[in-house]
Formats: sequence, structure tokens, C-alpha cells
Amino acid sequence: MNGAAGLMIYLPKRIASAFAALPEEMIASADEIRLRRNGACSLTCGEKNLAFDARGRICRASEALRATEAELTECLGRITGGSLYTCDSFLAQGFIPLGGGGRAGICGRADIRGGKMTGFTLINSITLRVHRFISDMALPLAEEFRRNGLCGALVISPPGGGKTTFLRSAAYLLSQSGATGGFRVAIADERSEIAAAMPPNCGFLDVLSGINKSAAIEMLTRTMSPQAIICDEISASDSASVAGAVNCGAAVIASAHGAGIEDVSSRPGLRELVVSGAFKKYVLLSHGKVGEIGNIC
Amino acid sequence: MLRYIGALALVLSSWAVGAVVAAYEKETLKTLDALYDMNEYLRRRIKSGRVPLRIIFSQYRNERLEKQGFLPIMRQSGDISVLWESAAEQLPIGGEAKEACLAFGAELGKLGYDDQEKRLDEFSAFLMSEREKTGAGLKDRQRSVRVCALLIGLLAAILLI
Repeated sequence: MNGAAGLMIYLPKRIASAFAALPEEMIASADEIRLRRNGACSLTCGEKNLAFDARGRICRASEALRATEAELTECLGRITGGSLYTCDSFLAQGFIPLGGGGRAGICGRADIRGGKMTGFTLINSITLRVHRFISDMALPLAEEFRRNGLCGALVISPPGGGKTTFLRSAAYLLSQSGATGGFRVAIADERSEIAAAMPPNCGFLDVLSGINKSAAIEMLTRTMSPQAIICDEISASDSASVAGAVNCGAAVIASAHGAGIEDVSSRPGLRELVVSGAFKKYVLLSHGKVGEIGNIC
Repeated sequence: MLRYIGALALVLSSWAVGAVVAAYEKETLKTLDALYDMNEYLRRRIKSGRVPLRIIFSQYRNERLEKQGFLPIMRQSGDISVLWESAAEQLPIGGEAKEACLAFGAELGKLGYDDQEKRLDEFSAFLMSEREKTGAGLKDRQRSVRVCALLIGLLAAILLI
């Protein structure tokens, strides 16, 4: 799904009409659509939060179109294809993957059973996130690999900086036969959002999705003998499995939230990975310009 | 002469009404059977593979529910519970069975797995008991309806003559 226009199918009629009336270039540049129960409907364009009214005009949050509880329920129904039971495991983590690679973040009153969150008893907000496929976004990194050989890399940016888009491009370029690729690439796709937005003609690509990242990395290392493993948003709890994959000879290309290498390496778990040399390359995505590569070092 | 013809018409039409009512009872039973079969299919597909409802309804075949217009409606696009409501209107069921059917449909696809599974089980158990209730003494009831209708017709004919 390229562009927020693809998210229209998930919107209730009234909100879809208002959204469709927004300027085309704004729709094309939107990264998110946010619906809030009795709160402002808004777009996220880069770092800007823009509320819109029923006529599709950008306005103050207090004058914005407000979603009703029924509209949020309808939106959820559209997201789940009218079969909520198919999304339980995701919903318990606060999100639902959208067909074509997008993601809906859900927020509300948690339903706790047996000490575990199983879903929501009341939905307060839904964030529909656009996922883009930019085939050559990771070209500088792929060329770096071509020159100096495949190695671990960590993509760093604040939330919404284009890390997933970058990883998608990296997976695409490295798995293709050709000058910048030809590697056996495996994606540990916990949220089913990296591979779903990729074209179907990817080369040497294996995808394990819908399973906890650490478990996925271990399974892929054991069963698929990949040359590169790609995974999104690693945290301290994934450090052991990443280290295990690196010890088995796989190059792990991962992403992490952060402002820079110092920021990431100050966190327990990730610090050990940085110090151990699991990542030889660091890709810093530009601040303010979503998805633009700031530096590879 | 006209009076006799009218009396005969009265008897025949009451008998026909009785036959139609009796046939409706049988149709209700067969519809409950069909609904039960469909619900079992839903249960199997949801429990074994958490298959989405749209796929389930697109693949499920049942001659009676097709003819009654239930399945063609469920295969349309739109909110599943809204579709179910209009599809249930096509079924020759009434009273408690209809209420239970509508209540089940209103939540279909809107519940998490555990709750959905529970509702499927409950609806299945309800359909089973309703089937038994409707099926028990169906033939006797059908005969009674036909005889009653015929007697009413005869009485009206006698009064006319």
C-alpha cells in the first residue's frame, strides 16, 4: 500500500468523505490517519499533526471532525474483515496488521483476563499507519555491502522516521539477484508489516511473521541458514537472540528507536550488542525528513 | 346453486390454508436443520484455522439456505452483522428462534476468539434443542392443523348453506 489513499477502505463513510476532500498532495504525504472517540480526527504528515473537519479542511483540533464510538467499531470491523477473532493475538499487543503491509494501532480500555490483556472492552483511538515501499531507499547501504561485504547494521531514528521502510528496501535489494544483492535474506516479521508491503517478485527471501521477534530470529537461524536477518525495532529482550544469530554467522540488519548511536548504546541489552560488534554499520535516518538517510557510519 | 359452490370453495380454501401452515412448520424444521449444519461448519472453520467469515461464507454451500436467499446475502460485501440481520429475515423461522438467530448475528465477527467460540457453542446448543422441540410431534401437529382448518371450512360452509 503506497500512500494514505489506500487506507480509505478502512474508514467509516463520514470520515472517508472528509478525508477524500483533503488536498491530494496532503493525502499523498500523510503517514497516519488518527481517529479518536469523541476526539479530533487527524493526519500525521512528517512531524506535523493536522486536524481536519467534515468538509476536508485543515482546522484547529477543537473544530475537527470527531469520530463516534460506532464509527470506531465500524473501522475495527473493516480492519479485521468482520472477523475480530482472527486478530486476537495481535490485538492483545495493541495493533492489527492491515492487508498490504499497513498497521492499525489500537488504544482503549484493556480487557484483562487471567492477568493477561486479551483485547479491548472500549476503543478510544485507532491509528492507521501507511506503509510505503521505496525500492532504492537502502541503496547506499546495499552498495556499502557490495564494496566491503555483508555485515550487521543498525538503523536508528526516532519513531516515524522511516526505519521500517528502510528495512523493507534493504530486504528487497539484498534478496534480489544482481549487483547489490543475491543474498539469502530472512525477515523476522513480528508484526507482519515488513514483508506484506513488498512486491511479490522478491528473490532469495524467507519470511517468518506473526511470531515474537526473538523466537523468530532463533528459528530462522536454525532452520533457514540465512546470510542476513532483518528485523524491526529490537530491544533489550532481543539481544540474546541477535547475538546468537551473529555467532552463527548471520548479518543482522535491525532497527531501533533513538536519536543516535550514543542514545542506543546507553540502553542495557543494546549496549552489549553495540560493544560486541554485532553491528558494523549504523544508518542514521534524518531528523525532520522522514525516510531520508542522514549518515552511514 | 351458487351457495353450494361458495361452500365448496370455502372448504377447499380452508383445507389449502391448513396445508400451507403445516408445510411452513416442516420448512421451519428443515431451516433449523440447515442453520445447525451451517453453524457447525462455522465452528469447525473458526476453531481449526480462525478462518475469516467472508471466506467461510464464500465457500459454504447449502441448497436450502441458498434458495431462501440467506447465503447469497451473506456473500455480499458489507458489515457481517448487518448482512446477517437482513439474511435472517429471509428465513421461515419465528419467535424465540428468530430472536436467538438475530442476537447471534449481531455479535458475529465482533468478538475475540474465546467469546466467539462460546457464542458458537451456545447457538449450536440452542439450535439443537429448538430442532428437537420443533421436530417432536411435528406430524401430529401438521395433521391437527390440517383437520382444524378443514373443520373451520366445513363449519363456515354449513353456516353459508
